[in-house]
Amino acid sequence: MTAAEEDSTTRPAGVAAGQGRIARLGVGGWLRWSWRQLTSMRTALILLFLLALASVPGSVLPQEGIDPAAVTQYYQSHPALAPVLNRLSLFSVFAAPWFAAIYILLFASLAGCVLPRTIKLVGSARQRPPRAPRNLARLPATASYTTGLTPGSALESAAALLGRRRFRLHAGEGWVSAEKGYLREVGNLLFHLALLALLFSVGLGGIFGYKANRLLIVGQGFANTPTALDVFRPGRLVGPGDLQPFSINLQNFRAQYVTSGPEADQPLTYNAGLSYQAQPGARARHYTLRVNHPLVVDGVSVYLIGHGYAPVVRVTDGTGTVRWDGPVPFIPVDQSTMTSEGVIKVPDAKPSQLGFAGVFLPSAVDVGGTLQSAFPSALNPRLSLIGFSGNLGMNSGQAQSVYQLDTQGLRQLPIAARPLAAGQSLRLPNGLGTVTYLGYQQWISMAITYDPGQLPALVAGFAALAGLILSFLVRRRRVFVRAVAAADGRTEVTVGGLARSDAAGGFESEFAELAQLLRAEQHGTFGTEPQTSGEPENGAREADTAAAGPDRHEVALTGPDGE
Amino acid sequence: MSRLPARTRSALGAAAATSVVAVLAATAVAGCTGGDIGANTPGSSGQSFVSHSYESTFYQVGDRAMAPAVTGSTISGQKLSLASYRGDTIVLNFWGSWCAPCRAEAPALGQLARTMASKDVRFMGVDIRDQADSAAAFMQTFNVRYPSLNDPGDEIALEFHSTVPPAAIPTTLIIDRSGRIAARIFGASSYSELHALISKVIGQPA
Amino acid sequence: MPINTAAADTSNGLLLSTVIIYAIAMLCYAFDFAFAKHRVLAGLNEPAEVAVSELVGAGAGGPTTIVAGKRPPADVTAGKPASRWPTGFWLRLAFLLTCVGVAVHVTAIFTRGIAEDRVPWGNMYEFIAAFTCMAVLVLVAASIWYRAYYMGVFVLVPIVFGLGIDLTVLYTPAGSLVPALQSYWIAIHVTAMIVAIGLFIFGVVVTTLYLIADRSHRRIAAGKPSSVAGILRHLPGPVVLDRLSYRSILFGFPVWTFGVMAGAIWADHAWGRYWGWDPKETWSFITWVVYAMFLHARATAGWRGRRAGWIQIAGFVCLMFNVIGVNLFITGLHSYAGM
Repeated sequence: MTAAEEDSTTRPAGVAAGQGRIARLGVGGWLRWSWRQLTSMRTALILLFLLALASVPGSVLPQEGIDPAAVTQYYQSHPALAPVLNRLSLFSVFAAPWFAAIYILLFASLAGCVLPRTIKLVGSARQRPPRAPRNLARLPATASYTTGLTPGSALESAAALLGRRRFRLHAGEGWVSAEKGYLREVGNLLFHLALLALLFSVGLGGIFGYKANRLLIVGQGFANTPTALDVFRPGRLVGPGDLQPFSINLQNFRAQYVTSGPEADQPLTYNAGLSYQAQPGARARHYTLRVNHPLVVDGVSVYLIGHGYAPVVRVTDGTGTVRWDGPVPFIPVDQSTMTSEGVIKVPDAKPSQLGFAGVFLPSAVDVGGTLQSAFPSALNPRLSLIGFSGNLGMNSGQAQSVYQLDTQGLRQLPIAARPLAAGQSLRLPNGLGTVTYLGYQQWISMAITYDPGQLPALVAGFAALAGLILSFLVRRRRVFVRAVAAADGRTEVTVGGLARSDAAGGFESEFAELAQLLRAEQHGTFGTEPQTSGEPENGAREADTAAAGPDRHEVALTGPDGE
Repeated sequence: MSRLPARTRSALGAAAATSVVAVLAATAVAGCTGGDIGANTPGSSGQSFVSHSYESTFYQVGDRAMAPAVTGSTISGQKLSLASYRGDTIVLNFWGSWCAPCRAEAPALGQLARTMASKDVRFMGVDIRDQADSAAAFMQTFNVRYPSLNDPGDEIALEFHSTVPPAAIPTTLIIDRSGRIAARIFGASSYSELHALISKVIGQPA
Repeated sequence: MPINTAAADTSNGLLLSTVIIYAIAMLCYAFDFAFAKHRVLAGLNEPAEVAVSELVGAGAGGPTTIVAGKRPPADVTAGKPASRWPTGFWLRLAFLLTCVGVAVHVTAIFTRGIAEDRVPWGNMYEFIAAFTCMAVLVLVAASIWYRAYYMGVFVLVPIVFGLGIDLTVLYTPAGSLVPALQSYWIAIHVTAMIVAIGLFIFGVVVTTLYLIADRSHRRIAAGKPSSVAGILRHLPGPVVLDRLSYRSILFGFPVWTFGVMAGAIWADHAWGRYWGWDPKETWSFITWVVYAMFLHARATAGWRGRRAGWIQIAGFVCLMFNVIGVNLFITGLHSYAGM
């Protein structure tokens, strides 16, 4: 910014060399103005409001990251509206660029306000309270009394008393200034800085952390490699070699349900018995995985988030060869009865590829002619299958979900749907083979999370809480004492006080107590009783104009040059 | 602390704040879109494999990591190890009978195994998350003559963890004559692509 | 886990009695307004004339000089008015009934906990019973600490209404917790929320009164009639109401912050991530942001007083949507807590 531009911002309009043009702001001036606007309290208010408002659609509309099936359903029920909402990123609000813009601006405003004040606080650690104002009677709280001590010794004793109460002191000719409560600013800044640290930690986790899911049948094991995970969401800088190389074996699983009463069918406990190794070759340890009791191995947390049934099925094809013999995980569609659905694909069956879609009922009962599951435990398991043959579509290379059957190239087989009990078989027509239901296994699904920003976020959260409580508890207040010799040879002592940003009250009693103590120390007598006016709720009456650095909220009052 | 002029102090403060915010913004944006500020699904249903778009990497002679000493049992129960093929170029393919892209590239692999056997190229498979019957059925369908190691617990995949880990299925690694990993392919490869890559590995001194 | 039906029935009976006691207390507070002579609430209640001039002069709150001599010296030295206990028959009866009522309320919740052999906040019915109890506890505490007896009827009306709905429409018989809730975190996270909600309820009632009183005072000062001037004679000036409401939020906001954090820690334990933008989490975040707006408004010129009051009301609306609306209208991870 050149000197000429600086001049034009400070000189009143019309004075610029008598040219009669309105003074202009230069680029630098505009930048400064923008920065002031960004870091003002009013902008903070607006941005906070926008942040709250922007979060609302994220909770009301289905979100991709939380429930993609619900989003698909929304497309189906609102075919015209859904693409418009998608264009506006309303199905992934919290990853949307405009949402990021709001909180980044908010944190910029926060940082721009807080960091300079932090630097100032650090620099002013030993700053002294301001001079005592000339007329203490104009302060919100005043008291005066006379004492037989000389002005000098009266001030000394006042300073000593205030010093004992841990006020920071500053003395001058005929006055003493005392201030207390600097910790309030410390708390305030700590809170806001901790919020910055929290954002940083969250971002850190997003870059170096990862989340994954894996479904495991009892008896199976897996190791933490990308090929073994069902869902893998790595952070920006996470590569396949960065995964912690632990392995887990599921040895058993037990689910207990309420068997009677109004809460029948509700789950009581889930217990998954695991054995795990932190590295290949390490000693195998045991752990019982339960909800609310995750397994922590090598810094990675493994959570139990779901369970279900996997019917064991054997498929023999038309040539008499067994082409499938093992459990198939079925997904529960109803948590209270654990009715589950699933798909069996046998792409290498000869002469024709085979596929089956089935329903598994853990406790099958006949209800008015149809079979339903009455209880989530496997008390009477039945498997009901529909058969297909033809082309499963797997050989073309197009990725398919293991839980869904693409029936486009398939022909449904004309077999009567008959629920199979353990050991029963279904013979397929045209010599295509046989499918036998052998029994069931159970499976669990686990969430695997690695978040290096988790602990920093926790620490930042607690620091924010501590800062918040500190700034609410501590009040910043000033007490001034002036002593002048009165006409009758005694000394008149005036005490004045004010609390800055003390809209919650409480200073009056402290001041009255201080006034009484001072008077008692000096054996003085009150000329008039200590007076307290209701303290200004906004601290607008700032009698001490020599204040060094008013609070930020004062700046909005006094103009842009409050610094 | 010496008192700098007010304008300089406020400029410094603004600069400090801006740089902090820039760092934060970069972190947040990188963390947001790449990782998981916005998304998570603690559900139990989902796809059952991780697919990857096609990607091939060739490692120069000086940059090659030593392949781990992989041993295991085949689908039919026999013992097999990488060491038994030492001296030959080995093509190691991670597959599963349930994996559609693996099925798509299987014919090419089977054919290449036959045509390149004369050039001392041996093929070996690692079968992931499969059971014996469906794996054998796959090999019959696609006339796969080379053996595959059975890896239901991902132990073999884990052994490559510190060298060139398989990030998806299918993954194909080409191991040169001295036992070092010379190339890596993620995704289903075609006959010509794989042939070209194997030829490149053979053509170079190991 | 067997449910102790005797204790459960006792709890239901006690909660019903609580509503009745609160309703009678509410009536007694109203009678106090109607029958007791105009009282100076021991220094807190400036006479109407002074209150008016204070506002005409200085906008949203300026200094009021309480002329020395109207109060006995003892008051000033101590800094406190003479008595912190209620005066007048109806007020004393009302306060006594409130205290009895809250004791019965606490016992009702306690016996419910005994019946279920667990911390008694596992569904909406229990949750509402708990935070209404907390709101009345805040009323009792504010009455004693800040001589806020005048708040009695205004706080009890929504409490009686809310408890009535809770007992009739939202009643759920005693039962056990689903595995996801079986954690000691329920005692930490949900308890913090209950405390914060009680404080926020008290705050919003005071703020509503403040806005009404403020508007009425301004109308009177401008010479226009005000329909609520009669009731306002029993209340302290708007400045005091505003300060009382601000104090509630000063207590409530850190507790809410802690509750959100505790919820995040528990979510990480149970679901594998500490923040997933689940609707309940999102709305608790929105509530937090709006109350943060309130605190920022208190420190910004032109936003103190009325505007801040309206922001607080908006925050409370968000809070109610968070606590009740999300359960009713939106499905998410929190809906297992059931209605």
